[in-house]
Amino acid sequence: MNWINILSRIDKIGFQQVVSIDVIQQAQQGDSKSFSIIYKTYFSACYALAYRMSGNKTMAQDITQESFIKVMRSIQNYQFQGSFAGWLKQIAVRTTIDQLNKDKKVQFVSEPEFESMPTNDLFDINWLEYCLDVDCLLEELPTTSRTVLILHEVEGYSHQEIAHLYNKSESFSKVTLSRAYARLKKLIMIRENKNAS
Amino acid sequence: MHLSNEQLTEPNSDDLAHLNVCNQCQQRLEVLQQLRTKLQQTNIIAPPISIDDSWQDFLVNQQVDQPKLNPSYNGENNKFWRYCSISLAASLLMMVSIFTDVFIPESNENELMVVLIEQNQLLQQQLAEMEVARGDYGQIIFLLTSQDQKIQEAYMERLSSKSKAKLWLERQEIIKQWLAHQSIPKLIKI
Repeated sequence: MNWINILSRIDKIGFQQVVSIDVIQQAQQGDSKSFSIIYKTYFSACYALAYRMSGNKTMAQDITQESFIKVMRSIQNYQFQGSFAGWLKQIAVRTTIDQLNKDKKVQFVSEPEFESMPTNDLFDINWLEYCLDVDCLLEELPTTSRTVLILHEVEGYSHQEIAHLYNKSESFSKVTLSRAYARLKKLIMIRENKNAS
Repeated sequence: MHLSNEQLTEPNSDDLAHLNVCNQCQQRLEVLQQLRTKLQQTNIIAPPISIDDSWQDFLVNQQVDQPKLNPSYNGENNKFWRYCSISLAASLLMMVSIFTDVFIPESNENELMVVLIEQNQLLQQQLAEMEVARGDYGQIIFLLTSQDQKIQEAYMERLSSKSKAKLWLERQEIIKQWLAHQSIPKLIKI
């Protein structure tokens, strides 16, 4: 094994980590030791995802616990099609969105708001280049905007998948994402103006 | 006509054809990729509790979340039945373990374990039959939940029978002390 392979194994974090097929099969047969390996491997990744989406530490903890309870109950349904981490991540995302909906913290973008989208170009310059704390900036976004931004731009979900998660149209996802970028840009501009004055 | 912001975030085949020939849109896409890179480099978010503590919480939550046995499950009874379900889960776990231990030579200590567990169950029955104010259950629920967690961990970590027996003895003492404590005020009243 060359050093690049070694490094690539060491660097694996979050949902990139892999647990062996044996561990998954044993967990499917009810082996709690194996399930604890799965839990301990993906716990931090699940928590980080739930926290980024919800912006709330306590809620993220609850979501993580609930996600793993769902994983434990439905692990027999995992058919080894696609990565296990991907399957688990889907459960965590679904649980987070359900929880956010339950808490009614999600404010969906209404149709008239779709029409009043800013027309200026969001991607003319890299306005995020000098931002030191992106997480702090993301916390200032409305929950839906932040969730869609994280899912599409960080987690690699397509607009279609996001639309399916929210039971909305694709344009909902597209417009919410643009609005999230627009808001981020505005926040950066406000910060820069404050610093300048 | 240049691509809109929305089109840039997930270009389809027509949009990609446009991108091939339009320098301005290519530059905008490049900026978008830089923004994405920055977003993906956000700090690692560490959970507020350790993984081991969280795993213990999960075990308790998972048991508490079991289907309710009592149809009159509600408010005040909630805590009591919650504690019962945890104890039941611990007992089941223990029974499975004893069953497997029978086939592993460690047998003398197993007999002691069976006695200890039976005693625990008898005491627990007494506890359930006691007519005390429901609010008083709070402390015993807390103590037994903590002890049951330790017992479950001991079985999962496959600790020695001696260690497990010690934990069951401690559990027994918790119930005994609580029962003794509960009977004192009644005697004073008489």
